[in-house]
Amino acid sequence: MNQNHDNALSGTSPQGPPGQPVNDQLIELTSLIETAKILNTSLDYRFILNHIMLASMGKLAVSRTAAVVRAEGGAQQGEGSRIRIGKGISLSDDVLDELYQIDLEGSVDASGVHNSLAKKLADSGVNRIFAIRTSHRLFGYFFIGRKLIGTGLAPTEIEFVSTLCNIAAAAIENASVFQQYKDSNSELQRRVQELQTLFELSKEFSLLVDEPRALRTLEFAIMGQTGARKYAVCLSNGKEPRVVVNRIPGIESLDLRPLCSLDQALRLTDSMTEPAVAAELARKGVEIVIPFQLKGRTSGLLLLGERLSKSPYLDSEINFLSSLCNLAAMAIDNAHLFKESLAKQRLEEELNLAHAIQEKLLPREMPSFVGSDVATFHIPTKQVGGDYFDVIKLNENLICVAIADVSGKGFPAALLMANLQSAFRALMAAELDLAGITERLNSIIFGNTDFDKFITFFAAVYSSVSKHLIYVNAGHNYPFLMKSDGRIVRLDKGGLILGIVQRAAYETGDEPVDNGDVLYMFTDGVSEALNLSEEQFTEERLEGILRLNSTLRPAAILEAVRNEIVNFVGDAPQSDDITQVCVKFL
Amino acid sequence: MNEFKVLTRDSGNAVVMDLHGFLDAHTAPDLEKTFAELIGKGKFNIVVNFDALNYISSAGLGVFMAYIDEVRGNHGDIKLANMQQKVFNVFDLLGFPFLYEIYKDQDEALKKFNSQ
Repeated sequence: MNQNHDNALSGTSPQGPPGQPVNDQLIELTSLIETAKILNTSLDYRFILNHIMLASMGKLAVSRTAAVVRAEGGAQQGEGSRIRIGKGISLSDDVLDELYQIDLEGSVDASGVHNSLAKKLADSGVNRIFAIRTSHRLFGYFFIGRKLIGTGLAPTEIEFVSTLCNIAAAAIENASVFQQYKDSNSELQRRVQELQTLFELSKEFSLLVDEPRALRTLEFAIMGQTGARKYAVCLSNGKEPRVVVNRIPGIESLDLRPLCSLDQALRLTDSMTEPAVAAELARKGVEIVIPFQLKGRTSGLLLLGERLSKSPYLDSEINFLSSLCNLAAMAIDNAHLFKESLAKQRLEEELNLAHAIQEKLLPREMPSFVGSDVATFHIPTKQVGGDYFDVIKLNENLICVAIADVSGKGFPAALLMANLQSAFRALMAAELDLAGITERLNSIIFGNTDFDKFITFFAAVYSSVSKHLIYVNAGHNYPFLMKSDGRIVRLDKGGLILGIVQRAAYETGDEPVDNGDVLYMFTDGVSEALNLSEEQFTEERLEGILRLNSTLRPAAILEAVRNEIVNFVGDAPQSDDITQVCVKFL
Repeated sequence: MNEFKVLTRDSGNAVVMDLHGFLDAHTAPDLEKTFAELIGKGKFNIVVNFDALNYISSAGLGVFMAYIDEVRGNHGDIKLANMQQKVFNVFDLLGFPFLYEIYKDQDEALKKFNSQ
């Protein structure tokens, strides 16, 4: 179309002197009208400029022309940049800058501007300059060289070109308005897309419960929405910052702590002095740092570098990315909370399981014995504890009772208690020599523990035939043997606590037993139970209660002690496992 | 919940990925997985057939960004084809036509790979 039109124009005429024939003027007018029609339907700056160039070259027989306009907006046109085309004339940016400052109207001869500029124009081959402008706005200039026959332009020719330029100015204004409309339309669409992304991510983040997934989703949104190819994410949240996503080589070794207190986005330049790391990051390609804000604190950073289009990030995009980062911060925080509560829940389940196992290790139902009545009582402080007691029927006439207290609490104590029980039961099944058994137990416990773990242990075997109680005490609170005649014997024979030294020798005690005698065994949870004033229950108080109640049945004796402890302790929390075993010999 | 499905098939020296349904933040991991598998197998000539894809969000676009550098670094490319207009509009809005070759028809894209 362009081409046809040029031919039509160039074929129109030789130039005419003033007062040229009416026919020529008519042809000129027709070509101007045609030009106006074509240019006004075009939205392309280059097409418009090219058209007036070719039209005047053909009509005036000049070979050198050039045109320049300032492009308005529009990514495709190159925002704020100059569009220039030329045939045989090329002008430097300096010359164009000067010309824009002059703000010409109409047209002037190239020699009519001030000296230095006139010379530069003449050097470039420019003979005349035409402003491309509407009444209120200068878009650019059209330059024309000498005619092929070597002369300047005649007045009618100047008028012709001026008219062409006016038509072009109107067309460019039209295109510029259209471009602005197109720009704001696509800006609007981009904003809508941003909002959709925020909406979508807030929905998606609410479903996510792990940090890597949340980070990956954030990455996709950043890449998809901005086209960023270089970026990194660093999470701090009050701790040492850790880079969790890194697509910017060289930042891993930098100290990002100074940025972790940022509360708004920061554009970096390599001449920045504050914070210290900013200039270094800028040199590595980071353009913007955007903080993750969570409950008024900065919990992470998005470091944003170049994107595929290489265009700078707009303020509105930074606002969008800030919102996105804040959403991500919330999702990551939720993921951490979820993980913590899951871990806690799992631990509780394991504790409950361990508690159930431990309860099964301790004897629950007492076997029936000839010549004795046994009761036990046990309250652990935590779900699992380190107290151990056992009642074993060796045969119809032989009963074994034991009590022990493992140092420490919780899982380690419970494990050691289980270890002690299995060893003790196995040894009891094999032989009856209590001193030998205790020596072996000591070696086993020593071998299985560190120096800071130990066990106080007491075991006794009672024969209803011989009516004797054989016992060994390895550092345990002395049990009471309440004689039916009112005497009290403390059972203290034995040796060292289990687990302190590799080899230890133990002696056994031997007490004759009469009908009505009571054996009372306890752990320090009884004697050292604390009240609110941090006072201990004490063995003296315990002895008093035992004296008063020794004629009762074992279960009733234990109940009496328990009631006294409850009264004594009041509202104070239980500080240690409480275990009691009581045997009445009949 | 809107479904998303991705199937792959070999075609000459390239692999065609057929996308179906809705590609958004929720379904992006499925596409990510497929890309990772192809790249893991050393397949870098990839044509994505959008014919049956009804919706794409920014996060969905992000997946293509995530792999383009690695694919091109291995002398391959991700070429896009058969987009519905509304899907193309999203690509266009975010400037992707400058970054990716987008074809009306997957055969054109395949021809490009095969002529290499």
